[in-house]
Amino acid sequence: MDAINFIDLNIFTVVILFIVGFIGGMVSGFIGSGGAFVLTPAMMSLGASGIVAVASNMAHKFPKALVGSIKRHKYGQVDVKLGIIMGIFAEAGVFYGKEVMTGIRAQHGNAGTDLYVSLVFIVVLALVGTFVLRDGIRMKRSGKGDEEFETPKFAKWIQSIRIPGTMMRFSAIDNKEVSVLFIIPIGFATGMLAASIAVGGFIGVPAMIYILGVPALRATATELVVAFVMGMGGSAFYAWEGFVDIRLAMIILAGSLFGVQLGAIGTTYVKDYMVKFVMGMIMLIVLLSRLIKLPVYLSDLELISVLDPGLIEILNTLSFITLAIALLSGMLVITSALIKGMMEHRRDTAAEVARREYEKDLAVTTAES
Amino acid sequence: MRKIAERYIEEAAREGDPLPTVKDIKASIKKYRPAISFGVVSVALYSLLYFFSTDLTHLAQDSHTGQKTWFFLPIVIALIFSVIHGSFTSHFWDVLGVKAKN
Repeated sequence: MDAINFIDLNIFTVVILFIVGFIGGMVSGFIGSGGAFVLTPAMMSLGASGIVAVASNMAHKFPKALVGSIKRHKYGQVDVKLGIIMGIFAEAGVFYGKEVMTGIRAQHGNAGTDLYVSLVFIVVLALVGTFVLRDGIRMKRSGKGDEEFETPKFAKWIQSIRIPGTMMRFSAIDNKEVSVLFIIPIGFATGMLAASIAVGGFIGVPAMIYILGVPALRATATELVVAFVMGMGGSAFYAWEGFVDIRLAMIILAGSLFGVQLGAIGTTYVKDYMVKFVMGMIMLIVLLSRLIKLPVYLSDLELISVLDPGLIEILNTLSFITLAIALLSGMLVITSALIKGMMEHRRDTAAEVARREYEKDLAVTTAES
Repeated sequence: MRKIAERYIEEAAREGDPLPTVKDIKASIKKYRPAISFGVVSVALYSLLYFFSTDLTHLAQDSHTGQKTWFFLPIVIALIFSVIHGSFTSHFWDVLGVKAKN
């Protein structure tokens, strides 16, 4: 069997991985997933082979998801039962997704899998991203917050279907019952997407919101449990084959655990629509990045006329920069929401203290007179 | 610890507050203790990772070529790091005053 090429680490590599890990962690702590779509190409451009990049990315993701889910569990946002059930079926989806990828690679080579991944990205992101972003903007305009969370009509219909022997009660949907038969395909699709584009949450979170009727904040928190269950199984599989570069994974983890805590804290200051807004925005920017790269894959497969190597280089760079912009803009929106939320909270707390002091003084003055 | 106490007294004196009591100083030290403790252990873990990095890549190579006795070690390492470093980062933001809304 061939030896695996593990990259040499230097201070530059370590700093880059730490920073990307931090930003990815922050987005992940906030919307339940994210970061992987930049981390994998970043590791590959530092010299790691594709499979080592994917394996090491997964080995940093599951401990990050564990820490994030524990943090958000403290805020009462996680439905552990739903997360574990979805996670188990997601694991099955991961293995099936890998088989699909292996099959495509055997038939059409690496360019074939690249095109498949890009097409999945484009279809999922265009449909789901537009829908989530539109819903987030609509909710913001109507001024609705968490307290007025309304179960989507489709989710109400799903919850109304009773299939004997399959009904389970979940805290995330106000202790209502839903059939496990609807959770199985959602979990499976999440896992398949995770195996193809490394961001299963892009389907898991919207599906929980619009099919099961879970509020966005709770869906993103529960997705972290799904990511933990599915990531741990996937990492063990890769470790068995010896593809995990634990040095890389732990350096990324060093940065991402700072980020994931911050992202999780951020969720306590925002309303439901903000999570949808950030998620939709990131998805659409990532979509743009894939669209930029599409001609390169089509050219590799000779489905269009072969592109000039210089143009391919430009498109590759542009695509990577767009991915980085997706993460950075997510980080900026989350940071500003966190700062704004904390300032408002401090102002409200100070006003409340002042009001109580005033009332106390007034009571004393009245008693004296 | 002594430095924290000295800084605490200096700040109080500068702001014209009454001198802090031993209880105040203890409370101040207590606030930083978990972040410092987990931070030290976290640095120790990363130092170990650095010193044994070659062995860890050899171990992965061994798993790849069929000797899978220690294949689970990366998973165990990831879990230990997540607990220790995760606790450190949590206390780190706490000490800086970045806390969740109640």
